[in-house]
Amino acid sequence: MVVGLPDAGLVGGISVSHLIRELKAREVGGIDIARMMPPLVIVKDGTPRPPLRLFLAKDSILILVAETPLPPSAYYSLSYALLDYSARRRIDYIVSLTGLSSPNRIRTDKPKPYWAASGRKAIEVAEKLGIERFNEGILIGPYAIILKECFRFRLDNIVLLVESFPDLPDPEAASVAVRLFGKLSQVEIDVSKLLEEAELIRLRTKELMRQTSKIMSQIGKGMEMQPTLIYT
Amino acid sequence: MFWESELERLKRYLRRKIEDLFQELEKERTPEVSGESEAELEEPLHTFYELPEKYVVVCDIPACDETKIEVLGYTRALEIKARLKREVKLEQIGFRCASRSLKEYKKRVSLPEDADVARILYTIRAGRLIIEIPKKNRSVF
Repeated sequence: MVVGLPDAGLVGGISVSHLIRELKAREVGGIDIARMMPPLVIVKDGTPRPPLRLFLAKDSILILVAETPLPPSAYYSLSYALLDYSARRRIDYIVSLTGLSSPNRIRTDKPKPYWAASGRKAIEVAEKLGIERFNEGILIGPYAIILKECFRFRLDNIVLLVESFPDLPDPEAASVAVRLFGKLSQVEIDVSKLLEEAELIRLRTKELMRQTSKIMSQIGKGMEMQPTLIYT
Repeated sequence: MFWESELERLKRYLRRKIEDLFQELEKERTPEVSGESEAELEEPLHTFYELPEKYVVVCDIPACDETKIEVLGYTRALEIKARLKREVKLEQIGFRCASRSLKEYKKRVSLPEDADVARILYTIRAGRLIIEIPKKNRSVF
C-alpha cells in the first residue's frame, strides 16, 4: 500500500495522484472517520466519496490518497484505522511518500531522497534502493504514527522522504518519490508528464498547500528541521 | 562637509519612512475578505528561511514572465510583483469560478530588523523566485 497525504510540499499527494493516473488505478474504497473529519464531501460522478480514497493498480498496489488536509485530531484514529486495515488485508509493505523540509532544496534542482523504515523486511528492501538512510531527525504527522506503530501490527513500513520546500507545492520532489516507488515496486512509472505539468500542478494546488501549511504549523512541523536532543 | 552628508542620510531615511508609510496605507486599504479574494488569488505562496549569514525568501510564481519581475526592498519589508506570461483563466485549469483570472502576482513579505535590503539578490529557478537578503554587518556573497 502506498500512502500520500497532504504534507510538506504536497509531495505525498502529488506523487500518488500521478501514480493513480499513470497506473490507471481504479477506485475500490476509502476511509472516513465520523465526527473527526471536516464537514465536507468529495463528489465524483455525482456520488459522494470518502475523504481518504483507496485505489487499486496492477491488482497488487493499493493507493491511499487524501484530497483535503487532515485535521490533527484525526491523525491517531486515521493511522490506527490504516494499520488495522493493512494487517487484516495482509499488506506486505506500507510505503509512505512525503516531503522533508530542507533549506538544501533552495540550491538544487535534484532534491535528495532518504529512507526510514520499520520492520526487518522493510529495512532490507529500503537498503537496496541505493539512497541514504534518514539517520537522525524528527518526523511529525500521520507518517510518524504509522512508522512508530507498525511493529505493533507486525507490519513493514518504508518512508521515502524527499527534500522539498515546506510551504510550496513541489512536483519535482514528487517525481523523485515516484521514481523511487517505481524502483521499489519494480513497476516502470514514467514521470515526464508530472514534470511537464509541474507549473499547472503548482497553480492548481496552491489553496490546498495554503491550508496544509496552516495545519503543519499547528502541529509544530517546523521541529522536523531541528536536531534531536540525544546526539550520541 | 559633515552636515551635508548628515543631511543626505536624513533625506534617505525620511524617504524610506514615507515609502513604508504609503505601503502600509495601501495594505490597509485592501479589504479583508474571507475565501479566495482577489488579493489572495494574486498572492503567491512563499517560504522563508533563516540561514547563518542571510535570509532567503522563496516565492512560487508559476507561469510568470521572467522578464517582468520586480523586487523592491523597504525597511523591514520586501515587495514582489511578477506578471504572468499570459492571463490564466481559473476555469481552464479546473476551478469552478468562471469569471476569475490571474494576470499578476503581488506579495509583501515582512523582514527581520537585521535584513540588509540594500544588498538583495534574486534569481529565478524553475518558476520560483529565490530572494537572498544578507544580514547586516555580515559579508556573504
